[in-house]
Amino acid sequence: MKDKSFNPLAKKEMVTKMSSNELIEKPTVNGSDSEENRSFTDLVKIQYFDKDNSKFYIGETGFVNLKAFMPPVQKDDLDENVSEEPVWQEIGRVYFHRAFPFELPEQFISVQEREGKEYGIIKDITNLDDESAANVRAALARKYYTPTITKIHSLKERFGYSYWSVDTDKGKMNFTLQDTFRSIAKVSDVRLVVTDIDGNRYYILDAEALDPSSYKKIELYL
Amino acid sequence: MSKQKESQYQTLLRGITKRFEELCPGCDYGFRYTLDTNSNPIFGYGAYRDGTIYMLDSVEAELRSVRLDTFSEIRCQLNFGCVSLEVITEKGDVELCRAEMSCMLSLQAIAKRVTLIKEGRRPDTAKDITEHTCSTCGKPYPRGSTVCVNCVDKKNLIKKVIPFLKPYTAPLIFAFLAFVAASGITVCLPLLNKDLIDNYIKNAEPKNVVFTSFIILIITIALVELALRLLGIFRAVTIAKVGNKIAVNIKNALFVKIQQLSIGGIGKRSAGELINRITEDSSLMQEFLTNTIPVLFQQTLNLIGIGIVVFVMDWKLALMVVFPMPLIAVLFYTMRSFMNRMYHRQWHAGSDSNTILHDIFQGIRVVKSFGMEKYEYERFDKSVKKLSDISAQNEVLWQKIMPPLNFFMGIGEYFIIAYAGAKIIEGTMGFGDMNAFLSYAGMLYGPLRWIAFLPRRLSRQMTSIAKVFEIIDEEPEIVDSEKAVDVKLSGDIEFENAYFSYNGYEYVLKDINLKIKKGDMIGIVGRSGVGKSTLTNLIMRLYDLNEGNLKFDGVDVRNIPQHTLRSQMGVVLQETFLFRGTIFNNIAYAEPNATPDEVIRAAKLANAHQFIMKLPDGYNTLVGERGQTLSGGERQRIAIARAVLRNPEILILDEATASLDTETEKLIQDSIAALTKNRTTIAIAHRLSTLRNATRLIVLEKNEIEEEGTHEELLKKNGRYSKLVLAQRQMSKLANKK
Repeated sequence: MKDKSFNPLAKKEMVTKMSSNELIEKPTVNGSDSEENRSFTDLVKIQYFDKDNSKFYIGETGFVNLKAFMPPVQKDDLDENVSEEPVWQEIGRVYFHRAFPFELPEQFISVQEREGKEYGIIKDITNLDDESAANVRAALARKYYTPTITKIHSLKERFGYSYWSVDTDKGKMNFTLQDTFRSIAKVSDVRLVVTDIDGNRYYILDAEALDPSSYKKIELYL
Repeated sequence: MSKQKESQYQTLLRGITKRFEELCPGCDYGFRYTLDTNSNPIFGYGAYRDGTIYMLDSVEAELRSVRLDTFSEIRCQLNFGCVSLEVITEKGDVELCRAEMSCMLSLQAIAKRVTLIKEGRRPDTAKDITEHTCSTCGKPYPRGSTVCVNCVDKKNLIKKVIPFLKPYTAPLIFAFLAFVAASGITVCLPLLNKDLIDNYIKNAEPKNVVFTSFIILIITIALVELALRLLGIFRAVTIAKVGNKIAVNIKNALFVKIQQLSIGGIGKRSAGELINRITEDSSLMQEFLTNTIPVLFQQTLNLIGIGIVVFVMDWKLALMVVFPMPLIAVLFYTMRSFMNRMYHRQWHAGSDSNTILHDIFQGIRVVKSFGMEKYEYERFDKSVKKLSDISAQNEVLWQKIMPPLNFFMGIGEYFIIAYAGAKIIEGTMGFGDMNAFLSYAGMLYGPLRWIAFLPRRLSRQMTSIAKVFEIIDEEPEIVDSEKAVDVKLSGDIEFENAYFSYNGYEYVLKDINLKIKKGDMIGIVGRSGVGKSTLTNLIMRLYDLNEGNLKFDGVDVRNIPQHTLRSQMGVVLQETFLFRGTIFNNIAYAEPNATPDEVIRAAKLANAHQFIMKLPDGYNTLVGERGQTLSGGERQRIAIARAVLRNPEILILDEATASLDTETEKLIQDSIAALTKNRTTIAIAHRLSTLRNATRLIVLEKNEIEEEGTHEELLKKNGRYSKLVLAQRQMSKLANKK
């Protein structure tokens, strides 16, 4: 009953949905036929980045920049630049944001400008060329700082706060949770995301795979 | 252990800080950071001096420095689980340092300070909050509060509580005396019983018994019992009366204070948080004053009194009574945390199933329209079963634990019986003595049980008291200046180089210069989040400007009493709030003395009269929570009526007609146009047609005024406004085609 492999179902659903979108990206010749079979969601066009239309490279100052083959980016929504013809262009520094940070960390990564306007989406990092993929992964690792808890040394609850002392992949750490029960999000039956009082996040990839003494300490909150 | 680790971090940080100060003395605005570029933990410290930011950390041995003139902008980039300090240079964005979230506030503070310095202004550092945790002990602050419960001066807190008790000195002293008397009597009762048993019931020679004195003793015992009950009633009544009066005083003091605080001060806390302070925190404070303190007092008196009596009677036996006490105290203590864990789980399961219920019934339309009843039933069923499982488990456990526990608690009695029995057999002790000892032993465990739970109770109450006084002691940010005098506004408004920011870091309005003349209708246009509503909030003085001036008729806003200022303004917001009451009361909210005639006129002006008269109860229709539901447009029209009834000199319409259909909007606009002839009106609207009557339009973009002028002037200018008009025209054309 417990899906340790965590949400394979959601993944499957996502993939099927996607493939129907792909039809729109590369319209088939007999368009009239697919016109009838279109669902609402197929009407939305998404700018996906892959190895043919994008290059993510490290800029002079260490941030990831994008060069992409896409319709000209409008700096202002009120500009009457209606050209939809894609061209190669330098976008400059881009920001990444995972659409499904817990479930699909390597897929559906939004590529944005500084204020959060979206240029497009990387459907899967593996669709990019190796160098771009490495750069995107590095940028994501820098943005999403989430140490993984490997051992819980002590967990004491006092007056609504709990004080944790743990080992993580980034070393030994201490932190405090406010309202312990609500600060531990259950992504799946065994996978947890812990948010501390400052807003730091910690993963527990598989609660049941923790050593028995660690598991006993968090059992109460599951 | 965690403390040790914390101090280890602090030592390392202090080491870095010390070296930093040696290398670069005399810096200001220190901040710490905790991660290297690859997000590995490090210790870093930075500060500012003479146009340069210096940084030193445990990885790079060298002091790094960044001159302010090498970048155009500095900001604190919020990531996911970490923050970074970035600057924008000619070559591109450069990251200065990164840190985990505990450093967020201090990194934001340095970004803000450097930004201010770059703009040639002086940062005001006193107001900045840079840490979530107490700087003295490292413990987190309670939610929505910046008072550390660990470090707050407890004596000082008690001192603050005393004024609330003062008006009730006399009844409190009586209650106090009742406590002492009750304790005395409680201690004496077993002695009377002893007398009864030894001298009469178990008397070796019954013939010697004087019957009258036997009866007198029985009557005495009965009277003493009665006196005890009466004292108890007197005490309870006094405490209940005084306690409730004190509670009312605390609640009122809080309420008055919260209303005095500016929106900025209130906005720091959520509505729920404030409601909690008034209801829960003040109740806990009342509980502390009227329950914890008196009971603690009485239990201590009892403990001492009984202690003295038993030791005087027979010290060996007394030791036997006292001997199991520490054991029992330890037992209670461990039980307490165990029980807490047990019931914590049950409580969470209960609250989860409540949440599901709440969710389903709130969204019942969605559930039904998507046909998801079965799914919701399964969800609910699962959570209810979980709750019942946990409850059953707890119940079983409780039943298994309690009887043996009670047995252990009573174990002292067997010692007493054994020891005293032996003595009775020997003939050196009376039966009454043993009986008295047994009752004393029982009486001692009561206070013990209570005291075992005391620390938890005290800490909860102290936290609440600290939170209550945090609000009561808070100084309102917006205060009337001493020179403030009542003025009659004519409607001139002037902004001079106005800067405003909610957090003191990101400016929502920059360098605003705006002159509004009496009778002008000013339309404010711009995308959402650009500061339109903020501008009107400033005019109402819900916030004070960070820099620059705001003048009404040439008088600085700070020299006009807030009440005078706002009583001459009428405001209609997009989100209209109707209070619980009739439509009449809602329209006459700010003018309680308005006549029905005036209210109807206002309603007609706002085009509300017609729909109100369609309601069966007319103006007496109940609205608000649990009242008649009105549509968004209807509510908005009531809000407009409320604003115009006041006959304000300045009318502020913040998306006031957004929920109305075009026809109604036009009708209202025409009536407002008639009303606003000689009055200043400031209107915000996304629908540009709403602003066609405006004498002047202001286009806000990037938190500054980008364009200013009449509709025609702006169209000619071919800037942002004309583009907006074009876009909206295209939209309406499209709509017409369909």
